[in-house]
Amino acid sequence: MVFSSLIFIFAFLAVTIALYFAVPRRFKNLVLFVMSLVFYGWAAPVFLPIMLVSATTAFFLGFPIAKYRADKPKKARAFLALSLALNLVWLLFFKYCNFFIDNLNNLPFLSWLKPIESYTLPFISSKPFDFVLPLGISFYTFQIMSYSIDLYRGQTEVQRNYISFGAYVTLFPQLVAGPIVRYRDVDDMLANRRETLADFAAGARRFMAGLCKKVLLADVADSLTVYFSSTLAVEKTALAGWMTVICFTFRIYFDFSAYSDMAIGLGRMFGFRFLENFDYPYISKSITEFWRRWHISLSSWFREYVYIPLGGNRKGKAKQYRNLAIVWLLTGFWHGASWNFIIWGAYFLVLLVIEKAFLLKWLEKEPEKKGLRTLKKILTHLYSLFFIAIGWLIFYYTDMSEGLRCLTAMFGAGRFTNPTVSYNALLALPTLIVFAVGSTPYPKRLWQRAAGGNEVGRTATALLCALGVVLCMAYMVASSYSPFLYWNF
Amino acid sequence: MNKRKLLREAEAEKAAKEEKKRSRTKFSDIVTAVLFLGIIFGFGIAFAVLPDADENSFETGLQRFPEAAEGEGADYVLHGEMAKDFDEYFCDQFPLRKEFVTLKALIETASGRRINNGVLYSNGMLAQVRFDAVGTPGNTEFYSEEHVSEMTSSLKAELDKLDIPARVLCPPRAIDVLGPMMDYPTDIGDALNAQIKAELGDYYVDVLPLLRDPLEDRNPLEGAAVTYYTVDHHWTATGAFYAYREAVASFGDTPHEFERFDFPTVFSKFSGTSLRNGNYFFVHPETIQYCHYDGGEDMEVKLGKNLNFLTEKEGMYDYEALYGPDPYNFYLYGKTDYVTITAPEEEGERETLLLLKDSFSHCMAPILASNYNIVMVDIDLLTNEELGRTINLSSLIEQTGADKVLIEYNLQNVMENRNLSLIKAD
Repeated sequence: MVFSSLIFIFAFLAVTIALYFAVPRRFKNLVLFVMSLVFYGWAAPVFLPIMLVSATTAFFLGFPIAKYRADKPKKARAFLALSLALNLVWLLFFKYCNFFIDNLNNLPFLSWLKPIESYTLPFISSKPFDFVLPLGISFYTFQIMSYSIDLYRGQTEVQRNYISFGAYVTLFPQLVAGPIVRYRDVDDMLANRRETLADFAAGARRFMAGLCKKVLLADVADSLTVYFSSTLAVEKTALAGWMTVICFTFRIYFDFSAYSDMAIGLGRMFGFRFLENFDYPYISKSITEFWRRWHISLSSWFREYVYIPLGGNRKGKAKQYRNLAIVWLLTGFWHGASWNFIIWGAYFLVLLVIEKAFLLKWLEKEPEKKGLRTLKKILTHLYSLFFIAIGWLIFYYTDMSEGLRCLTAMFGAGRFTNPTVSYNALLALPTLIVFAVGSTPYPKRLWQRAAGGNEVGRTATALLCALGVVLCMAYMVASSYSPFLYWNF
Repeated sequence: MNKRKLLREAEAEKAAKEEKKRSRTKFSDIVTAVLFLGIIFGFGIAFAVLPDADENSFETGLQRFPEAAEGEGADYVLHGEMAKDFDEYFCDQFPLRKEFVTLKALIETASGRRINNGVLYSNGMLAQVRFDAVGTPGNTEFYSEEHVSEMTSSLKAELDKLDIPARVLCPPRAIDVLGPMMDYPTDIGDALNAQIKAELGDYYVDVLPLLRDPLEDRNPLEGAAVTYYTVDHHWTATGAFYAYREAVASFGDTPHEFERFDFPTVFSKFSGTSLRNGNYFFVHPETIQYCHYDGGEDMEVKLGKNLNFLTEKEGMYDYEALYGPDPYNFYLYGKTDYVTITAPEEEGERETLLLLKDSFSHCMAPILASNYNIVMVDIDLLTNEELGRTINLSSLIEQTGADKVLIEYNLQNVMENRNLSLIKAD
């Protein structure tokens, strides 16, 4: 079920809110757990058992991990390894199996290996199922892992209530596309949260704002991206290449951050406080800063569970670069089992290493003269945006020959434009300006300055959000299925 | 003491202020919660209690309440098909659906993005501009030169085998004709038409220039767009008349003069495909005319299926269709795979024109019937690439006793399917 669908908002969410606030406190987690299973199983019920098996094994293996972590750390480590393995095996199988087969069968002695295209479930269904990635597996796998690891480290206590643990793993607001919530961040909320009207209203506002971002901005950016990218297949023009990359740059930000907004908002309605996942990443003046502002929960997860355990930056430059390499190759690979994602991870690794080696100092150093300071701000911003956009080009095209076609078109391999592309680019221009402004904090600041400080302003914000929802309904009624981009990961 | 008292008073004042502030915050929170819950429960309940849209409503093909086929219940659920159908059902039967889709079109227009669902709105006119052309990723204005070349070379090779005159007429798409009036570039349509013209040579009847720039002194209608509807993808009766003139002249015959015809209006609320696909319900509907001439009422019309006759009709126009889901079915009763139009009294003296066609001919064939007896065969209904179903032109000529062949297939169809290559001659 997609957050930005009518069935989610007007059926699922309405029923969930009614049930949640109707039942006594001790049943609230049960309502969330059951409704989350309905949410997850709606489109692909066949994947429900996988998530439940993952959650259940981690839940039960949590007891021996907690029991032995102080006195018998080796035993605890063994149970931890078992828990992680039983959890990761699904991710590795569904996400990476065909990638390895596709690459290994190029070897002459392994040419007999064939990718899995479908599978059957005897006694359950007569028709074969397509071999596709279970929804949200990359996210909930990492969440479950964070529980087991935190437990082993003694950073959290064992959860003895299966319903509460199930509610944590399956919690529908952030189940399929994050933010990746660490167990210790919500442990207390699972048992002791309080829902208030202020939180509900704040959550509703955030959800409505996220919905507007997704429907009115991200989906529009998506249609522009698809359009300009399609024209490249017929004729290579520099304008279409640049428009594709620019539109996708906006699309991925609005889409993913909209999902996070809605997730955070939904969580807050039910009394949860999730950490922020985005902080206006396109205002960054370096790639290092960009990654501090983009998909914060994933960066934090890798820093905490991979980079720091490997030694971080504490064991010299060489090891730091090695650790960075591991993190970035894993980051790329996490996003998808395709070479373009690995190259994308490597691309950012190179940029970050260059910045760490010398460039960042120069980028962050402010000139003394005011005029030069402004000029440098503009230049550093352009530098960041350029390399971020090229990164998204690599990310967008899973077919690398198409990516190369776009890249060469951008840098003059074909003619600059044709009348139809120019016409459509001109039509898109006002929208791009809205996108550009919308990806900065200025609209929010302006609105807060104009209306934020008083009750009239806050009421106006509520009315504006409601109006936004009505506009979104117009788009949702007239649109087809539009899942979030990060659902693929 | 005084100091303490003052301090206490100050604290009490501060606490009162904070309490006041908190109570104020509650009001906006209540407004937010009421608005949010009001919207989701209001529309949710309305959706649940309101009946589904009438099946004969303006928008056809709306999703009904999903039901699994007998014996496929488990598969229907497990494979996610039920979820997909329910999503669609929610969209199609949502309260105020038509008003919402109109609102979307208004927002798109107001925001400067004039293209909604592939339909351009400009200067009060509508035209589809995005297509799913073979050999392209789809949903663009572009077409594949190779595909078009393949179609034309295949068709030309088959027409070369015939020993009776044959012509090919490709009605332009609405945007090719209306483009200049809508400030939209026409380079792609021009290139497509020019390519077909060059590759088919003498077989091709080029109607684009005349339709785009009709002879003003012969215009029966006022306004700029007289040859094509501005709410539909078809040509008007006037546009069909110009095409008729060119087609007849291309065979070396003499078309009737414009003065022989008049164009009575039969319907004034025509909301065509462009209007419906683009959801531009704020655009005014148009009128439907037909090309009337003396003797036209006496024509005998027979409809058939799979090249067999089924029914005989009175006249060439279906007035009931004007009030059905697609008023364009007024012309020759809509899409039928086999139609004949004959003038009984003159049957022996008139030539027979075999017209392989798409829907554009429904409006043109009655005008062509003023010169020829017509045998119409629908290309799309009688060909199927997957099933290997082709049209045997030679057999058809023999079966119908045709003296001439006209293949009418509009540019959109040429670029979007491979059916022209399924027309074969012995």
